[in-house]
Amino acid sequence: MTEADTKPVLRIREEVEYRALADGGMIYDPESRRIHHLNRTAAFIWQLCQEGCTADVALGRLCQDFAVDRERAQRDLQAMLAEFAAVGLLQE
Amino acid sequence: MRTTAAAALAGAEQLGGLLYRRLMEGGVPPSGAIAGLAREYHETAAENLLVMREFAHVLDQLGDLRDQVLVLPGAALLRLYPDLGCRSMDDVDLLVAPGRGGVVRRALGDMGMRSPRRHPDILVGERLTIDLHERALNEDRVSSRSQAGSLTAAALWETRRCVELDGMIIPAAGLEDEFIYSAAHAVRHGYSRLVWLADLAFLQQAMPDWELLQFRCRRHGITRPVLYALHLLRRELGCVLPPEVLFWLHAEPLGSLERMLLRRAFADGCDGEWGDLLWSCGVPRWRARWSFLLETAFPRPRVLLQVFPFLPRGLAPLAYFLRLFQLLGRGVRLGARVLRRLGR
Repeated sequence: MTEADTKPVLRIREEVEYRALADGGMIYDPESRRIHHLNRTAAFIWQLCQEGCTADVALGRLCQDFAVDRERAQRDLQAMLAEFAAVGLLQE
Repeated sequence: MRTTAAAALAGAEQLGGLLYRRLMEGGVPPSGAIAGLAREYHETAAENLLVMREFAHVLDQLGDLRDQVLVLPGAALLRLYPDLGCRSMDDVDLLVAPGRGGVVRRALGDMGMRSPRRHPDILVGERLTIDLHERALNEDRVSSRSQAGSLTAAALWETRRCVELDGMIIPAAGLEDEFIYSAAHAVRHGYSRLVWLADLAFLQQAMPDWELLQFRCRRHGITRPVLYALHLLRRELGCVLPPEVLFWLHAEPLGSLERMLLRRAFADGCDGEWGDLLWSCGVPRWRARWSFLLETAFPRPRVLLQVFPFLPRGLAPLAYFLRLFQLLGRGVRLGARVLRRLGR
């Protein structure tokens, strides 16, 4: 097991607030005062980040809950994390 | 009813978010009509979140004055809905403890909130609008309203408690008093907004003690509006009421005038015309009832100038003529609707 497998997926900025919604979720960034709406997949990944999951655990949960193969899960996870980082929701 | 029509009706009644949530829970597949509901749901959730953040900041800044205010329904009732996207809010109604209105108003003003012209009790922030009340049912605007019962601040403070709303703790009235207030508010406005019935339905589901509700009705002298609300919940929303409530409805039946007015309030698309007439049925004596209706129709100049904001203060007496024409116009519209119905 590598160090990357044990580190949490990514750290969310503490001040960012999340609300679960019927079709996903909503994130409020008090610094930018922006709201980001998440679909079900994005909300699921966000909650994995909140739980402090490692990359390996996150991939496993994605594959199981969304019935996708590991390669697809990997792509979706990386894409979503890149988006979270792009809008400044993650710790530097 | 088709999805498109249901979506349009829900949107018009500011219940699109709630309908969308229920459809999602029921596994209804996405469609064109639902896209509009989804948009309303997300916008409502976002707006409510921003307003709640601002309100949390205001409560924080109030400091000790926080003990002098109480959040009235609807904002206080958001906590009963499934999530922030299900019910929109126009403003936050704050009831102030007796004699503390001035100091709370000044404190809100010091935070940068400003009042529109002729509405000193409305304070507008960035997204948050606070409507300050020193009397819960605005009996200070139309004094004879207290003849139909009164929700005084002192009485509401008896059951004042802290509740959680979107992660913050807010001061609110007791659940029974919230039901009474919501019922009175809905009848005053002629059930013109379906969202108020939704509020009552959620309150009814959460009600733990119907005997206490009846006690609080007697305490405030407000029973008829609560009975109207329960009748509507059962008849129009299909709510299942517990046996003790059915017994109560049987023990205090509605009169023929009340039944007719309640039917009209709904049959006419809930446009609010029948509210004051129905509200007057709670006034026990005929003379007091006429006084109530007269003052409701022609309130004091300060109130009428809010109804006709374009009128300069110096021309306030003219507001009574305008009010007369307004009431005559409503009478003609009502008469036309009745004639159309008879003609069918």
